[in-house]
Amino acid sequence: MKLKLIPTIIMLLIFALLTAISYQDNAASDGFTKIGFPFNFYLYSGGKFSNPSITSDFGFSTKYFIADLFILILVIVIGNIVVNKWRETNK
Amino acid sequence: MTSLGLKLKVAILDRTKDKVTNLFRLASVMETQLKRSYQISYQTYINFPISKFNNHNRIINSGLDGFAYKTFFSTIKKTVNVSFFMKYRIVRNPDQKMNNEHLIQIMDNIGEMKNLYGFAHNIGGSTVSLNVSYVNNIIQGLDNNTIPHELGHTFSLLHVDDQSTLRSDSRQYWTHAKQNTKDSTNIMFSGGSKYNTDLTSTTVVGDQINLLINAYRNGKLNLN
Ligand SMILES: [Zn+2]
Repeated sequence: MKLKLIPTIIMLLIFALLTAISYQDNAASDGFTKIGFPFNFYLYSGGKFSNPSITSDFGFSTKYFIADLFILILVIVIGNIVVNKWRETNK
Repeated sequence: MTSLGLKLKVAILDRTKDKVTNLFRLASVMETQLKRSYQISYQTYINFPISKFNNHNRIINSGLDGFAYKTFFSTIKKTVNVSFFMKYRIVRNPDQKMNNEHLIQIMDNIGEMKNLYGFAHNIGGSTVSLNVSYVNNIIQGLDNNTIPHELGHTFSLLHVDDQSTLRSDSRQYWTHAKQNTKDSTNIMFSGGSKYNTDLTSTTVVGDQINLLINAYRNGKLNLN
């Protein structure tokens, strides 16, 4: 399958937009700083927690970063398949 | 000597399902804790203008720039006595918060609040969320830190030990050596710091009050 440039760029932009919209930066006032869509590959808070297991998950998560990349690639591939099918049926 | 009055108006709201907190007792404890932390007396240096027009009547010849007189600033040491005043009312929904009030809302221990003592919604903002699971400790005097700490964030104070403070306002960052002094009982240690303890992290230093005054003068307090 060949990837079409414009649909691929549009899907990349949508993904970047969703990442930007879901970005939160409240760690300085004890809320959460979260980056990543759909999974947060970066999570941090300066707040106080009663359960230490929460803070042990803080920082950059390679697992979620790869998951986000995988989903992005999947969305691009599926998106291209849909666009190709739609173009064929509308020929 | 200078007197400084900090006046805080608070709207207290219980947003939990079961509403078990005695809000009047919480308000009373809040006031006690805020007075304990913020009512300090400290010495500070201020810039004092000196020119031929003020009482000191000192004439400074500016020399080469061609002007006969010049105002210049002399640094003087002053003692500042801080008083803290709190007024509160109980509200039934967040919309009842007025512009000149801080909103203190009690939340259930779910979602983002899960296991989190509390948070301020913004630095310099006017809303603080407290986790209902730890409010009882506050009322019983076992946690003297959370209220002064979270309100400290709304007064523009940052964590003294957090690397991000170094980037956003390096004046508020304390080196390891400075953290390990008599000021290790400061209210603004982050939740992960070994110096942050519920019971005894209760003190504020003069520099933090100066920051608060500056933030207020620059319109950076009482934001949403
Ligand atoms: Zn904090």
